[in-house]
Amino acid sequence: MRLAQQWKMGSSQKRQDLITAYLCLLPWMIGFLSFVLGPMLFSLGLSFFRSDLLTSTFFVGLDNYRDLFREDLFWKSLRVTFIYAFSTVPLGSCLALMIALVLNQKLLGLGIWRTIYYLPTVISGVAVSLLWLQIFNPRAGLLNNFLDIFGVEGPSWLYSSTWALPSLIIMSVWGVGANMLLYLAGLQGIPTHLYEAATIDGANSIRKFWHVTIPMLTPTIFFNVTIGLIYAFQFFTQAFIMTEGGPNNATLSMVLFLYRKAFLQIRFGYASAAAWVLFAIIITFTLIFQYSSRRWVYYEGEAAR
Amino acid sequence: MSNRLTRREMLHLGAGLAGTAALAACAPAATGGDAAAGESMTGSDASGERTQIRFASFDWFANVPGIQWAEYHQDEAFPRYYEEHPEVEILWEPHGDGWSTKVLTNMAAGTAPDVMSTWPPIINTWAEKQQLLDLQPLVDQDIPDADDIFLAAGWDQCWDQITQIRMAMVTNIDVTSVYYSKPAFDELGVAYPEQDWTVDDCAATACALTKKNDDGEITRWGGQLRPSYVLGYFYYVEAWGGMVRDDETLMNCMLGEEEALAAFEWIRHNMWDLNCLAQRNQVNASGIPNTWTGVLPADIVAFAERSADQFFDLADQMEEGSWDINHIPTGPVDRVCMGAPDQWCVYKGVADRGNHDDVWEWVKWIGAGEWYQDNVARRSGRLPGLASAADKWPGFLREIDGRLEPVQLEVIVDQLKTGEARGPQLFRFQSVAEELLVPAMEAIYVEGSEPVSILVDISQQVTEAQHATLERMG
Repeated sequence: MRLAQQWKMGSSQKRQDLITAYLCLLPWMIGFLSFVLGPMLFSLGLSFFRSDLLTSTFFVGLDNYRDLFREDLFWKSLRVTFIYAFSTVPLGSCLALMIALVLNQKLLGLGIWRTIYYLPTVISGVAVSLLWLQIFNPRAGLLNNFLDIFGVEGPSWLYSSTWALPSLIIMSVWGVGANMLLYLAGLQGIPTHLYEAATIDGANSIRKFWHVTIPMLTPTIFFNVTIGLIYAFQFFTQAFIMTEGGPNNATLSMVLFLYRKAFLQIRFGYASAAAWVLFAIIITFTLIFQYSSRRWVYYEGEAAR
Repeated sequence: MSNRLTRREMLHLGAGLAGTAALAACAPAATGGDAAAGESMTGSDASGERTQIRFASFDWFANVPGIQWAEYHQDEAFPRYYEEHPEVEILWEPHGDGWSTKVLTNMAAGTAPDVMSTWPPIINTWAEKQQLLDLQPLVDQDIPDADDIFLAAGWDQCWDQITQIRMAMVTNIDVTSVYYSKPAFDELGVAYPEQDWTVDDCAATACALTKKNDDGEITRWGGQLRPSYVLGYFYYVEAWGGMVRDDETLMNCMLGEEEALAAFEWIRHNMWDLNCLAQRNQVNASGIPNTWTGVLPADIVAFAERSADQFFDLADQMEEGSWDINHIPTGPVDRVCMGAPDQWCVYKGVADRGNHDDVWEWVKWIGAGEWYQDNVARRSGRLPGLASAADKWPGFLREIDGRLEPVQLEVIVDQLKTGEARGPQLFRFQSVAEELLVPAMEAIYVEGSEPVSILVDISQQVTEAQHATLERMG
């Protein structure tokens, strides 16, 4: 409606601008409709059917959802996913912020350090998984050899149902480079006059950190934590490559669970229901976080309005 | 003249490009299009174009040094086939990683390749889902002596008991045998395993060959069962006279019965109480690749159960004459090991694609043709499914690498012919069973945290899950 009004009311130049704008948007829109929204809606519909996509499709209403909530393995995968998400995101965020704070100082070879910390982010997940398989090797791995120096006998890591998930959590913090870079950008965007004012008011470094740095970084923290949670809830590659969900389903993430249901048991309707439950969980946490952000995220521009 | 576009020209050009792209995306793929485009290949048309056959195969298949399976096909096999069938063009599609997932989505879209490499139990699932062409009528017509010319160990597994169809032709058969390092035996004066050795002999030999250092730490384990595939231990159930599941419905799990538990306990006892058989994690922890080309040369274990491949790698790593092959030890009732085929199956879609007859001619040529089957041995080093080619397999391998001369490769052919090597007892819904069995087997054997008796309960759960799945499928 608004577009039609714009079209009617606009000059020829404005119309051409509109056409140009929509032509530029068209490739993305085609891609989004074809490869994101279309499959999503298809998957939502499929979740109400018992379907293998090969032979038969029956409408079963909410049966897939009901069966899902009754399956022990689903709850186990949910537990694994929650532990992973709520361990890796705070851990990764704190570590990334710490590194960013250090790299925000005037250090020698700062560019090199930044590159080094960012480098793991550009390495593919498969390569990282293979590398960490070696690091976690109970006898020959770097980690246990390091612990051995201090007389600590390292655990079996990926081969133990107790330690397999913590291993994947430890591994995840290796890729904090991307978050670190965002924090660094956020830190460099904090006006120096705020620190100067705090200094005049007699604030020490710790008070400056809590009362200037953290408030000014809250938009970045909000972004990093939100995106981090979304990604963490979807963790798959590490578990798929390094442990195949084992031992004894100790690393069975929700995405791995639904992958097994879809591609090994060929229950696409059921797997779609699992995918939508995961989506609901992610969207719920995102919305809660979004809602709570009004109370704790500070946007400098908003204050000026 | 200026090359600069006006806004109007740019808009016209953009609209034209977008329209062309949309038309191209919506139009059906050309008959002679790229196989990778995923569109079904069709039969030869009136213009005389060659009939195309999409052939999806494992590209990592060849074990012979210097041989690339893809190159062999395109440089040797396809040209040779074209001499007899100039009207056909074979399009090579490497399976790559995640091939079964990719093929499954192709099947859902109706764009699966015409001929596909695969193996059980994946193929059984495809058959259950009615995605495969039944080859039996074609076999009856063109290869009436099929039951005699193929090795039963592979051929029998190409028949699906549930759907009653011939799912595939055999590419090759993988056999589990015992590989042993002679110096490890010589060092401690232990006799080499004899052909008819028993599980008791095996356990005693493993314990005699297990070495410890002054601190009491094991520096070499006597033996090792297949480490990566815990369900491979199910063969020992048969050796003890038990069954994995019933033979009729394939749904009633029998792993909780006395014979099965006795077999599982024998493994667990030797692995965890005596520790003469290496645990998976112990070998992984050594940092040596947990393959038989890793553990034997590194003297991590003295003998190991493994597949009938990688001979050339082992010949590279161990001194000539210092290793050999033997049968799996005989259990209280039977002697059984894995004999699992790789297979070629045909997508049911060929019936509509118009290349059905050409596809069958190709599959027959690779499955039952002597030249190609000989080359399964010569070019890949693997054991062919055609009995006549399998007989020649030891000779071919020794022609390729003279260092295999003292190795008793004939043992493996013997394992196949005597019925020692056989297919796994698969459940009707194997992936549903594995979802319960793999964690249980890992708890018992990988972690050593549970007794074998948990399988009594798990077995019942597997049976219930099988029946629930059948019920759900209507």
